[in-house]
Amino acid sequence: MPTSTPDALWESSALDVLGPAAIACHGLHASEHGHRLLDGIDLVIPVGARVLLSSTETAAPGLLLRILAGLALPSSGVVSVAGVRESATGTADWARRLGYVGPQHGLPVWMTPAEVLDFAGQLADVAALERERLVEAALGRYGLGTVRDRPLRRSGAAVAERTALAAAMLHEPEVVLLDEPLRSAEPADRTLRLRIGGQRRTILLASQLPASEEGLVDQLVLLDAGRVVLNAPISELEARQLPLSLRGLEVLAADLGPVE
Amino acid sequence: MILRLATRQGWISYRLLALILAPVLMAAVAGGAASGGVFARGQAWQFLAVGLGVTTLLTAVVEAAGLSGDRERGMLGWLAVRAVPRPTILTAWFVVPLAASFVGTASALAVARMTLEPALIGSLDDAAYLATTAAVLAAGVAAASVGLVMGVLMSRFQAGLMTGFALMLIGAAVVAASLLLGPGTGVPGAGFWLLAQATVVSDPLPTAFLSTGLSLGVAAALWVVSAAVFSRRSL
Repeated sequence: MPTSTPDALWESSALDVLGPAAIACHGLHASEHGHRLLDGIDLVIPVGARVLLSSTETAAPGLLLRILAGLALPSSGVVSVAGVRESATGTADWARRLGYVGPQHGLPVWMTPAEVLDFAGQLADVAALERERLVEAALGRYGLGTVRDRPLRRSGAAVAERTALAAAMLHEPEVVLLDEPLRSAEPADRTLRLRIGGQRRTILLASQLPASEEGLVDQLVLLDAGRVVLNAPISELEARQLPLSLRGLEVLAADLGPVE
Repeated sequence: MILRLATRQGWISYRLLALILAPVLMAAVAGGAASGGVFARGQAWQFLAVGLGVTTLLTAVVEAAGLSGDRERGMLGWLAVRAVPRPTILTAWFVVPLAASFVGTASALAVARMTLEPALIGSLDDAAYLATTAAVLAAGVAAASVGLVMGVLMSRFQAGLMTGFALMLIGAAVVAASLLLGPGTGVPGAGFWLLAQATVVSDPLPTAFLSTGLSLGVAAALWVVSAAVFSRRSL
């Protein structure tokens, strides 16, 4: 499946110099229910990063992810995902670049996991034969084989969440936005499912429970009062022997000083 | 593909079945009551007009609550993030309940034409009856558009409640306008008035055509408002 970054460019050493951004936000302002949650977000996330996004305000990361996914509009500011400005591309291109899983799975609960995945493949313009192969692979990868033909309403929240993640990953998106995903899953199973591969793939994982994301991320972003106060590799946290927790991120942010 | 999804979503939740069966049930009751001698001449048509008014209101409430509920559940967002254009989503969620209501209302009026026809001799001929049917269906489109606006703007419960309330107010205004100015006013919803007056009305064509045109005009304006709001709505 093609990506928005041509293979020739990806193999080029120039890539190391250019350091392409998978996600870029500039001067992003946004409110929800009259409350300003994003107050001038400037954030650049390089291709291939696995980023934990936390905030002192619970709703802020979710809103940022919805803006990146094109589900909400900022009051001002510019957003680009995989090098494409929001809404500047056609159906197939945009769907290929982006995978999003929100706190609500949003799936029709009368559908079976196999139907959901096939439908997601159709929406991403995947050809029938290729779709069949991808659906079978996803059913196996996300442990949905035994419930593949059972309607979601009869399989519980954990299956619906896994199906939503499988649907988001079906077309191998370059950028994956995960908002508190798989909260109904067992911790070990959750970590297994969220260990998403792909050298070119960028993952932005919003979580208010950073400790539960241990081993899944390599970069930390913390929002406070609607601004980015921390954008650092996880090694900085480990070097100071701070815990992967909201408190740990706040201490690290204070230690490193303002983000440029 | 999106239309098929919206249809299955509506069908499985029994929304569409209710919208098809309710008007037919009204016509069957009117026909049965007329043939059983429960209603006097003309009363069956008045009953049918009120009944179809209620089912039109039901369609609008289903439009509002269905759209808003599926938005709150995240289903519309699930589609939008897969780059399904928002106007396509809005159109599917608008057209499907409306189509079910069309089938139900048109069937009900066909049943009424067959069972209550003796009461129409000397008043509504075939052309006038078709024009009245068009006016009733067009009023349904306008009412569903009110539901669409509410569904885009409000939460599920609020949208259903406000749509019902708004349409009852509009219905009262239509009745008042028809009583004060006569049935020739041709306001949206005048089709119901023509139906209620089926045994006595004369030359209904101009009123029916005017009402149909105005209803569709109102519906188009409300559709544009809904699409504009929906394009910026957080999903």
